[in-house]
Amino acid sequence: MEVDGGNDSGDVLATIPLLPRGRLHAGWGAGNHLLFAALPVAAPIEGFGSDSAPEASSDEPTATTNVQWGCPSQNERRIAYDTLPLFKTLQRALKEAGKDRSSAGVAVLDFSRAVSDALANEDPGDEAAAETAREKALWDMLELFFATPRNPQGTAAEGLAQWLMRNQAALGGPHSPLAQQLDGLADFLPAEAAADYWECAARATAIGWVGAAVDVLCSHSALQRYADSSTLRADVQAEIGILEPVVLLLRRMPRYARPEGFDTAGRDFHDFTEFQQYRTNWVEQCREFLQSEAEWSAAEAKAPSTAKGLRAVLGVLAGSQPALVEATRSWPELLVALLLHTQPAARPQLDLRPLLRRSRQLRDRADGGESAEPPPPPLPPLASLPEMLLEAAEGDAQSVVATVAAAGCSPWFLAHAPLLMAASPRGHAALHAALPAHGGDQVEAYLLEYVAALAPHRATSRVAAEYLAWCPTHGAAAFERLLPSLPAASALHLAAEFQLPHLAAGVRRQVAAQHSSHGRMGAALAELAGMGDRDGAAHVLAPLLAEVATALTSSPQPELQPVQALSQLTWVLSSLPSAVAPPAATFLLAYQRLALAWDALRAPSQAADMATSKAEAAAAALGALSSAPRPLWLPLAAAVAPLIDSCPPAFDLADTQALLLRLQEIPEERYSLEAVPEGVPQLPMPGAAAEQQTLVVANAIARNLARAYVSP
Amino acid sequence: MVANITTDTEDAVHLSRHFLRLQAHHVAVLPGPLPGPADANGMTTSYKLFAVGAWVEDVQEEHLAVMALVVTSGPEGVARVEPQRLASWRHPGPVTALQVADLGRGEVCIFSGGGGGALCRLQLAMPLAPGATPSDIQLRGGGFEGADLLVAAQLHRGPLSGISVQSDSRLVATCGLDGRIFVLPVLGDLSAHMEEPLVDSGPSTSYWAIAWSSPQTFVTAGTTGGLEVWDRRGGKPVARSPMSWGATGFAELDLAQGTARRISSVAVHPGRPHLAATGSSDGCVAVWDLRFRNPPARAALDDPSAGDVRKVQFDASEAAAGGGAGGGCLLFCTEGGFLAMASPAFDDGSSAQQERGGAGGAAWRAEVLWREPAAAMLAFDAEQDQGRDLMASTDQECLVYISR
Repeated sequence: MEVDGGNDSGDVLATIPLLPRGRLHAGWGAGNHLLFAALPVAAPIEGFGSDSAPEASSDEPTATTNVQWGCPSQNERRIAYDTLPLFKTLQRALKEAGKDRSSAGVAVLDFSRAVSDALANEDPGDEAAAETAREKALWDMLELFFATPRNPQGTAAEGLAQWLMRNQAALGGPHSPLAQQLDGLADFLPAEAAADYWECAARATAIGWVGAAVDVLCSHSALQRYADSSTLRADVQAEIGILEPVVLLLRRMPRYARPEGFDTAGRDFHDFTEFQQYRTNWVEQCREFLQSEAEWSAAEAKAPSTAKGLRAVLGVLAGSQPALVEATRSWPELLVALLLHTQPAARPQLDLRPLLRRSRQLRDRADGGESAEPPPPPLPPLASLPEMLLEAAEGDAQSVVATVAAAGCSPWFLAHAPLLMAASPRGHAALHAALPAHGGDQVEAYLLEYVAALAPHRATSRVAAEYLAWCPTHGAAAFERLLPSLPAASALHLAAEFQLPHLAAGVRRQVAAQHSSHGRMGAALAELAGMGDRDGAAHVLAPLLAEVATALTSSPQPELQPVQALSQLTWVLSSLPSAVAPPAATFLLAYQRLALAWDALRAPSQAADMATSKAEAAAAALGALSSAPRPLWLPLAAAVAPLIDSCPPAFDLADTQALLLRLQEIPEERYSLEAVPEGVPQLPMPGAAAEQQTLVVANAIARNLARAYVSP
Repeated sequence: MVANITTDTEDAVHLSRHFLRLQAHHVAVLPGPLPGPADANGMTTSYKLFAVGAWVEDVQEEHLAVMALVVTSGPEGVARVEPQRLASWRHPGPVTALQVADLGRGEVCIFSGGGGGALCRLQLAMPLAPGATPSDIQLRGGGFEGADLLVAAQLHRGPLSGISVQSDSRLVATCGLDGRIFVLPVLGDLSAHMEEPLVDSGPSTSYWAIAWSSPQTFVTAGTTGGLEVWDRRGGKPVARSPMSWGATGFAELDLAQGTARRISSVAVHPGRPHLAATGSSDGCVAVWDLRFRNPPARAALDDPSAGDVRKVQFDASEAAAGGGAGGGCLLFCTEGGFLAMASPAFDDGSSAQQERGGAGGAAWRAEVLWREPAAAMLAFDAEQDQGRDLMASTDQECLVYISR
């Protein structure tokens, strides 16, 4: 039988072997885990009809199969580990923030940036790292539109430029990331000898890496030659004549609401009106210089490549569409370039859709013109980037979630992205709305999906359990189900941390059962008593109680012998809090004490020691008799009868009278139907032997009573 | 790993975290070569060798692995740390205990215990010449066959819970949940001793931890409570801690919580064999004088989420320097993700909060060295000679490296 993932791909997860005439049992493990057991069944017994219940045959083996899916890869595990503390910090901060949306927003932004850093921490070149990089690009985009505070004008040009810079490797398509290209320039001397020198300068300018563009231009050898030479050379003068103004224009490029830490060159504006006024003049200067034939003609004659390259850069600055298309390598780059250099005032909710369409069309046209083969399609989940970008720009969290879910994002992304989107009021309303058939909301539903992916694996099961603390509807039930599958130490720690003593008790019971099944009585008892399971402790002690009961009831004249196992258990038994200690524990401790005292009494010793030993034995005997299960009282009393009947008396008048009263209750108890403790036979002695013991004990008590009256 | 945190403070402490791609439940530092001479840039490369008993999630197997941290240092401290897995063998069942026997001159035995009671042994010749690299490590003997680590002796009828090596007498002691204690020679045929436990207390006793205190005596902790001192020449304890001191040395807590509290780890001071350290429930550690004249000195992490102590060890750096007034400092790690140090508290009032166990021995001060943000600190080990290098593992497949 084949098990598939239930999706359209029809991938087979596992093949389950079936037995002829067998029965297949299936059950859920923790999370994405199914267990199958193929049980053989015996053939119907002839003559009993075909519908007689089949029974498991012990001859054939049972075939079990574990089926797991969505197993986290190394990279996914690392991200899971790195994200958990950030997630916990965020949840605590949100709880503290309460209805203060400003504080909550700060917390979400901090969380998002820390997660982004965690996603960026990967060795490049690895396919897993590339997958992570693609999800990081989506993550940063969601951060930009849902968690980052908008500037007063509501523009997003600089924000998108920064997003592109952070995710160049993922968004650059099949082309080399610009950073890599820039690094490559260092291998050339002069720098402009590199084939892509001018391409770098124009591309950096187009996507807002103005500082990098300035650096590239300043590495041009003409500047160096100009500084070194004592007599100005004409060709250098011509190059300098166009190079310096372009560098100057780049350095003066107006930037509005540039995110902190993004690029360093240009002139910053925080007032949009001032920015617009300055920009109008600056663009005009760029265009004017582009058209000043005197400078360009001289340079084109002396250094045509420099002139061509600088024209491209200047064309970008002047907002020329062909120059922007030429300078960029992918539609996200072109989109950013169009925003920065043609429509810096564009607002995402209103203007992004036409710009995005335009940038894709222009890019497709440009790519089609360069090569007969179209560029390879983007890998999941970036295939849906345009839709997600528009949905995010419009603040439509619900649509983003739907697109992300369909785009093949990991369970990790699906679990954490809603937290980002819920930071916006609209996203919060959509994602925290209760799902009718689920009980919880979407945020919880995706968290649970993620938990299911982590739960079946030893390395990540604890991480899964930690997430459940923030699943208000189903978390508790899922936690309860998951906990027994965790390592005991982890399970106990988490149960204590979440203040769930009843779950801790369940784990201890499980551990105790394991110890008990291997005969490790002390360990089992320690666990059971540690959680206050009085009945469980009594159950573990039953074999010992039976051993003592057998020793006491196997002969009419029982011998008191210390039990080896009891001496090992003294600590555990005596450490049991009184509320937890079963009666059997009290009796067994008292019995062991008595047996040891009895041994000491029989050992040769000085008279003074003898008196002490006798007193200790009497005290121990009273303890044992007072805690003995009813059926064992008489045999125990018979065993200590010589001590009761000893001279000088070991028991005083009150103790002896108490023993007498207790003895008088024996006949009616022996035949009562009252339940006796586990491990103790109800009618331990044949009638004759019991009567003989009664007589022995009665005589001992009578004689001691007489002695007590005579010498009180 | 996300954070290669370098805290080069005034004390020049380096701390970095590394994703190991395996969940190391036990860590043991191996003796390794001294770094070679510095290169032209003043950088030196040293190899910090260690063994781990680990669950490897990618292949769903238990492994014993020999690993190295390649540490590149310069005049300004540690510049780069890179973990490398040098060799790895499938282990028969989960690794429940791990111990290294340094036999001198680079001869090393790695002992690992399994959940099924098996003891495995791997013999290595470690390169000690300055500048040597891990490729110079030689495997000796037949402790493995292909990718599998072989069982040297099937000793216990259940999980082997503790291993301790006595370097002078070249003996290894093991204890198990089956109530048996074995003392075996470090070298030679271990299987010959499989039927000869030194102690067989029966199933009513389980031992959690064991540590040699001298060439002839060792100390155990188990369901019998407190500590028991044994002489290997006899089969019974020669001394045991009074019951009134509690099962873990925190009498009041032990009384209140009963058998839920227990000792999980025992270590003996390398220079003062009458001192033993124990780690127990709720981030509690204690230092016992094995002559049992005074109640143990105690310290506890003042954090309700500290969790149970997974391992305790005397701080070799302190021991080498003469230790504190009470006999050196302790290092310990906990289920709650703490790597901490305990040291004798001086009269600055800071010890009062650590007195969670109530009346008892001297109060020590616990100080957090590092806390994992959301993971359990499963194990750690320190370099034996000076204790400068600490390696700790978490349940999130992470190795924390601290260079002091």
